[in-house]
Amino acid sequence: MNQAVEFEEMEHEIVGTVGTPLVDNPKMSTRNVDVFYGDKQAIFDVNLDLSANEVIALIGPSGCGKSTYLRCLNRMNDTIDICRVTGQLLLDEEDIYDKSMDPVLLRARVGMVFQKPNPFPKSIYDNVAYGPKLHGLASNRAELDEIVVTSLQKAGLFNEVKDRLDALGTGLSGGQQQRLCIARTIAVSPEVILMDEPASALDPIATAVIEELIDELRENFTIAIVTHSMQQAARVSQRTAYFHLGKLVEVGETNQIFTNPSHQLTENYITGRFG
Amino acid sequence: MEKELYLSQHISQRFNAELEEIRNRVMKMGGLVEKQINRGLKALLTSDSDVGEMVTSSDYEINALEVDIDEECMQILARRQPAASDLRLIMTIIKTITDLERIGDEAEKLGRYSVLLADENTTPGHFVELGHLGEHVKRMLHDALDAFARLDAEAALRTIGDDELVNEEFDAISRQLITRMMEDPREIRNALRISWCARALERMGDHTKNICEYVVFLVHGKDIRHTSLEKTQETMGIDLGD
Repeated sequence: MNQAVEFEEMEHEIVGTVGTPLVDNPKMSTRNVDVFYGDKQAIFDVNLDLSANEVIALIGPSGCGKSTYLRCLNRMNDTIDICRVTGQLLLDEEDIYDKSMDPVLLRARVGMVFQKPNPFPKSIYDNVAYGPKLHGLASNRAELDEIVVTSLQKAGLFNEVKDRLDALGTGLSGGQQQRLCIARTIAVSPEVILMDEPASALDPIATAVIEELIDELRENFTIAIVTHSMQQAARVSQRTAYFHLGKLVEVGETNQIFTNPSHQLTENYITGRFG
Repeated sequence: MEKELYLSQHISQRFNAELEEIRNRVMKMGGLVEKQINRGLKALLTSDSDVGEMVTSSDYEINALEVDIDEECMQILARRQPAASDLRLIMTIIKTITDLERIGDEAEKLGRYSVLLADENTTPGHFVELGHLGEHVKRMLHDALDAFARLDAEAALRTIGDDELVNEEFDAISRQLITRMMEDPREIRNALRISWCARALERMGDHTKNICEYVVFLVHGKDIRHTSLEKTQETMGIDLGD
């Protein structure tokens, strides 16, 4: 333990972000993002792009700011009174913090799946139908049925629940609940899906199913996933971003990050030398 | 940016110990292989068939170490799922022990042929050139193992350059032996055996070059196999001189 402490005290410079944080034609683009909780700054000057139809993994030690950053992308931080976000955050070149942007509509376009599955205390059908109904995406029952079935199919859950769509969503297993939450997110036709440790509460089999699903979803969506599991980040993502104490240290192709990262701090984290 | 390569200092002390242990075993295997080469050369140069037989009967120790270290590497991969430099270290070790085991096999050939040549009462003086080539190869292997132990990619690159000289010496010996065979057909059998010994030493040089390439991969994460030394120096911005 003494060794780990000594290591933390060593000065490792973070000057800018190493690697490829920016891309051409990004789906989402963030520049000079700072986030404050009251007086405490949690995110420092982050510049990062999300490429269309990619899975980008956000990794880093606890408290490094990756979930805080993720929540900026669909303005979930608005729900926290003391939280203040500055900088430029664009979705298809639209400023998502512009006064004219409705956060509710934004969160349909940029959906979120949380660590703990949180299905509504409603039927499986109503869980998925809730969003489309709210946003007026179906003009009749047949269209709503179509959306529900398609979303459950895309989330890989339909075959398991097709005979009991009126059963309570909360009665499903953990893995099934999480897939129901994913179906709920997909049902409103988002462009981006944010996932905050989506599999950390699930057993290995359910985790593998979710990871397989993420790979399939990539065809139609852009996905940003926060994960504590390095192996999961390596398996599901094309790019990986490493955060450290609120700063974005390095971004690169996942293969390169996990075999030969450029920054010492990234190397130290993924090899378990501290953090 | 330049990174330091720390192979210890994991939060997990047990992981540190596992990696340290496996590196030590690789060095032990390297030491055994060096000893076998020494014995093989001594057996040839002094026509000592007893030493030659010792070489052939000792090869099993190197083979056993290869199997053990391979198994340990697999356990580490399963338990620790290493990444970055740790992953490159395990990959380097898995490949290095394969080449070390092959060098051991080539040394065993030296022992085997030395017994046959001693039985024929061949004059030891015929093996002077072999002795010179042998010293060269021994030095190459020693430098390669040293580069691995010290994680010195530049030393590894310099050692790769030495393989050219080994190949040139081997070519020279081959030409001399062909001349000898043409001059006196009664020499053909022994000349062939000497030629196979020279070939064994040349192959040792090739395997040692492989080990050096793995060291560069371990230190810099760059795969330089099948790339010329000049191109490698240019890509990596290293100047080894001539």
